[in-house]
Amino acid sequence: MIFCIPCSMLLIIFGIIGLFFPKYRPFVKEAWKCFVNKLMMRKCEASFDTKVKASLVAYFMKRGNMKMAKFVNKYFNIIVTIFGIIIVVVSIYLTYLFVKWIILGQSPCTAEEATCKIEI
Amino acid sequence: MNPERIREDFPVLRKQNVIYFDNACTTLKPQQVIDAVMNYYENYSSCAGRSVHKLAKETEEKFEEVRNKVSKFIGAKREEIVFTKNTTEAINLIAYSLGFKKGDKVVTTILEHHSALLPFQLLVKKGIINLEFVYPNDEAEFNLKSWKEKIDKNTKLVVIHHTSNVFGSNPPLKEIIKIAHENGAFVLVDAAQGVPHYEVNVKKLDCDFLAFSSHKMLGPTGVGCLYGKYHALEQLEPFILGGNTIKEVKVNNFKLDEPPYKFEAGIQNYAGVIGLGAALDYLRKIGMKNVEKYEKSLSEYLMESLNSIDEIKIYGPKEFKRRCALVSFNISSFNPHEIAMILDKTSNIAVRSGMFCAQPALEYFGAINGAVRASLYIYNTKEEIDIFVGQLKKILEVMK
Repeated sequence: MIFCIPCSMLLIIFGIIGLFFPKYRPFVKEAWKCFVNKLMMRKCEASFDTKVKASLVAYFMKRGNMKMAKFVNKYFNIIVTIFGIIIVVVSIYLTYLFVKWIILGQSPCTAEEATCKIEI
Repeated sequence: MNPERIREDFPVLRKQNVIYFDNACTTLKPQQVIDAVMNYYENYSSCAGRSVHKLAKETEEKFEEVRNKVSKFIGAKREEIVFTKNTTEAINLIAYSLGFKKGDKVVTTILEHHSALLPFQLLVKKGIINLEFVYPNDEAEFNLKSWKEKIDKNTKLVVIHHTSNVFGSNPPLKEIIKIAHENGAFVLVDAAQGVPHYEVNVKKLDCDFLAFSSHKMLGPTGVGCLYGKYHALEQLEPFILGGNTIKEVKVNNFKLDEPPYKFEAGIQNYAGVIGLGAALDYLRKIGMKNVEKYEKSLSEYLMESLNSIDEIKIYGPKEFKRRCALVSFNISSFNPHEIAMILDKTSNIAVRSGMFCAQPALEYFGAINGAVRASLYIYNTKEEIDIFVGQLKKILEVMK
């Protein structure tokens, strides 16, 4: 099921981004369709991860950054997977902080402290 | 023929600054066609063949005038031209109306567009006909021997493309038609990619039916034409009935009109047909011989340029003389959709990628994920080919 990973990662990435930016919500739908299609072994004309990859490669090519285009083309799946994992971890952590803030009220930071300590 | 002058007539080229190489899918429309369609809607929008007021008369006059233009364009008689929605509908009309009986045979090729394949596959599924295929050689071309082997006295219909929408190749139509007629079979030519690019004369070809679309020859979408020899059209039953297809209707009976009217049920796409008339005028002004000649020069240049890419695999005839300005290819094992999308996003080059509605054809030649197709027309130039091939080389550099 390794072929599902880029689409599932894109689904997560756009799912989270889509929460805050409505313009990315259609991509969530497309990523979901792509994910399901791949999972069900259905053939699709151009899968969503292919489209995102092509868009990124084209973006760098257009700006004359051929090295970056080459890099994205070669390591797209890895980049998306890493980015997906980071975004999941960050989201979980932010959710935790948010819940904690809601439950505990104001954070125990003082003006003198450089960073806010959060006790788990 | 001056392509630079021609380009000025196409608003999309002016406004979008696009390199449009997807002409086998649909062509761009010149201002003259757009004006003709607008003129209908703005000045005399009404229906033909029914009302007696002057607007209706004008519509009818213009509509029938286009039937004359189409007939002259392909060397037919006006009563042999049936307006349809597109080539697909024209082919379906034949599949449904020819009156196939159990055991009848239809001979076709594996290179056909889905629209020339599926209606007959359905008849096979219903257990009505036997469908047999003629296979091409490595260059998507046919030898007559295989046709002679397949066509026999049980063959009712031969379905064959004029120009392949995947390979740009032309089968030996005249000879195939001769073999079919010797065996008493009808011949239906799918000329969707033929009529826009070649001087086609149905009388010289001697085919029984020929179908093509307006939108692939500068005209509006939603209009197609079916040519049929008059006696052949007389034998066909219409597959939709309604207003204008009948001479007389009683409670329990009706009397069909003569061809072509018995096939044109209901209100027609008058604006589209009138637009097609303007497109035919435009092409006739240029001259189809000139169109053919110019496209051959583009085809030669395109083939030459593409062949400079080592990793490219071009499908179809190797020699430019044996194909029109349409080339399907793959580069290495790269995803064709990716190539098409990068071309679009980096250089505004519009090409088609995928199966081109001819999956069996591409799979037969090993392109299981499809291919990229560049199809050119009268407004394309050699400079555009240079940009296209240059960009392909850059993509190759990135994807290697």
